[in-house]
Amino acid sequence: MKHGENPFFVTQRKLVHREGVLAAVILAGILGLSFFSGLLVYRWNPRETSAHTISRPGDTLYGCVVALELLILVIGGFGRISERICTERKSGLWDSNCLAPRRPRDMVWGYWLGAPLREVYMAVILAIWGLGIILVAGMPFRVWLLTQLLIVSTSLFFGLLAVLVAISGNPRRGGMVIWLVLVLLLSQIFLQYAARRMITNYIFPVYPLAWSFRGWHGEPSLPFFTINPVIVTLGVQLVLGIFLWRAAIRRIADPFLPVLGRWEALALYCTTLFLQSVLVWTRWHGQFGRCAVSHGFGGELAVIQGYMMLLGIVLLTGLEANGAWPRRVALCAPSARLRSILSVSAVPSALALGIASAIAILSQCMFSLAHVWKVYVVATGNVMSFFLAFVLLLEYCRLRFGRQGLGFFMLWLFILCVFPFILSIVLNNSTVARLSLLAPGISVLADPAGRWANFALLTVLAHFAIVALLLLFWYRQWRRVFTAAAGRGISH
Amino acid sequence: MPSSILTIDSLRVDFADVVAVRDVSLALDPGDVCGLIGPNGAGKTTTLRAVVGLELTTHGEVRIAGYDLRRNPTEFKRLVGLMSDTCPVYDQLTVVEFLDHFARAYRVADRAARVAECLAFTSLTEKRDAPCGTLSRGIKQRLVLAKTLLPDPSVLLLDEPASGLDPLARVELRNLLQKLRSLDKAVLISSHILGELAGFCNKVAIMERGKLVSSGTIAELSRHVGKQRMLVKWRQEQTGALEVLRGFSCVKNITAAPDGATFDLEGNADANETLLKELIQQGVRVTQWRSLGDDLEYIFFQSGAKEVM
Repeated sequence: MKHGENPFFVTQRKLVHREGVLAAVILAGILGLSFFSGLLVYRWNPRETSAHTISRPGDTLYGCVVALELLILVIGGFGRISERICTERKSGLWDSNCLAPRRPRDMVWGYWLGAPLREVYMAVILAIWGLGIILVAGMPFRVWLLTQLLIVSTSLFFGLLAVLVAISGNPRRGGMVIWLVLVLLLSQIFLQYAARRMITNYIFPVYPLAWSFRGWHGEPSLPFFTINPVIVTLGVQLVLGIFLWRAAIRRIADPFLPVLGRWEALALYCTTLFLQSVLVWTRWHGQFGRCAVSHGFGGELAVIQGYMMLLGIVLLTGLEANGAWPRRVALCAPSARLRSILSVSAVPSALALGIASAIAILSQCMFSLAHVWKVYVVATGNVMSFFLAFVLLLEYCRLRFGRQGLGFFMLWLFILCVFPFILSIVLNNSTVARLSLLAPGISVLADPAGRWANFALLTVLAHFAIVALLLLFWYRQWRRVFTAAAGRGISH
Repeated sequence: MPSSILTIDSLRVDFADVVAVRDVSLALDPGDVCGLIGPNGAGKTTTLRAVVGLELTTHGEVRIAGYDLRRNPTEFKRLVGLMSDTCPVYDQLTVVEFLDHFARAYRVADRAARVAECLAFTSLTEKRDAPCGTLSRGIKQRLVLAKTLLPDPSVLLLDEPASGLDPLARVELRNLLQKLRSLDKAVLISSHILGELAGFCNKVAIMERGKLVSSGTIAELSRHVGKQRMLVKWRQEQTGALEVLRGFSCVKNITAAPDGATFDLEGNADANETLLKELIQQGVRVTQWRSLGDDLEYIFFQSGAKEVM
């Protein structure tokens, strides 16, 4: 179907135009013109400008245009889409639209491409000025093409993410999630550690953008060949985007289902881990243990471990069923069997993600496991205990405290994960920080030859004891839900 | 019930602490206008939202013309229209643009003509170019009704259509709803204000605390109640008439007026006939004699619903 016939796109376009686009377009034009004129001034009289010390002012000015485009299109577009959907969900218009006999994909297209049109117009104006800068500065046209391609694909990826976040989250708290995601991704700009080997640098393509300008640090090397980072970015965004698309479609078709299906979450996690493992393979060639012990470096794997844990909890949150689902399952199940509970709980998925992480870490040290077996056990045990504790705590709090559940969950997560770090600062004792649920794996991977391995092993065992305790509370709470359901008198 | 256009079977919705809708079953035929009445919090809105899939049902089945929402979502959605009580509209769009949006969404053939038709039906033709954000609550209600009618649905679910309206707007909406009766659609209309529904509902479903206390045609419910409220009027003040009424043991709760009386009549049609015959034989010049069985308030309070509205 053409977008001109898509009612949601047409209406979003009308709403954007009704709110006014001229001022925004003029603003973008003025900004672009100022960068362009800066270049012209330099060309006519290079010694009288402050840019005479910069070897390639074209690079700098075009870099500013690209940064502005990213800011407007990716961050602005993300905010616009989620704001529009959240507003319509609150007013009831979203429900009215969902009742129309259209395919869910029509709605996704309409909001994804229609809501951020003002930002698109601004970006187009900036892109035209950017082209002018490229031509006047005598830079290769390829730079413009590749950077614009990356901006478009990134804005599409984050736009789709915005649709999913806005239709899945609480419409009153939509903004919080948006900023959390963006802060994490923008941190890539500052965290340029091992830029070409981190998959996050391809999701938010800081590295490929920089590479487009200057071939920064070379191309990412895969096991048998090197590859253009722009292609890596497009591939990664496409693969992850397919998962986002499916999740958004399913969520619109049935708003009561979890955002992700179990197999989808596992596939998404495994795909991401696989891509990450491939990108980092040439660093150690499976000899992490030998390299790390002899040279004492493991920082990249520690950062990867951190991202793995972050991605894992994002996926597990997506798997966590809508509050109404567990009740429904409990009401419809004949008895409080563990099987019935596990059919709706995210605990099996937490185990599966933990196993996938263990395999991913193993792939980096499989030829030298004897050197780092303790590090490996700590790292995998830490991921597993973290995922299990996260899910058990989340489900327990949801079931036990209802609407206040999220608050209690955050409290406990704070106590288990963040509080040890605060205590370590207060007490000026770094050992306390290593008690955090986040710490053991990352700390031993960052310093595999260090003296903390035994302590970390004990910490992980203690974490598993916490998990066992949580499991007990979690199971008792589930049984209460089933008992309450039986009291409501559904006949089976 | 093969002829029913809307069939709700054992519908149940559970919220965290409460069963919002408990095993509600209902069937509507084309042309039925059913009032879903009950106090605030009885589960009327949840029932309507659950019918169209906006609430998660624990169990139960809803079919419209045999179509199920899960298996045939497109056909199901095409046949049902829900008018929400919150009047959701795009404030920046004009009335005609708002309707055009939904005409596109429902793939309405000859959109412009159908929009004009719905505007005329809801008497909004003059407002067609007004921005939705500037409309009063009453006009927004009519606009949302026009939007609901656009795809010509067979089943209309109207949730508290007159809530928040001033008396004039309420009368206008009432006239509109009365026009709907002639369109041969099945209409399920929820309200906690009984006066809104009186006069044009042929069926009533009474809800209380998520349960359907009773449902059926008004005549059926009157029979179920076991007694009826009667109105009698006579030409001039006749004290003897009241004495005749008091003489019958099946007559209770007489409220006298200068030109007549209302009273509860227990018993069947024979008792009704006998009483009227006796009045006439005693020389009372009866000008009006009718049952107040279509007084929804009366049925509601006699139905077993305990909460006061």
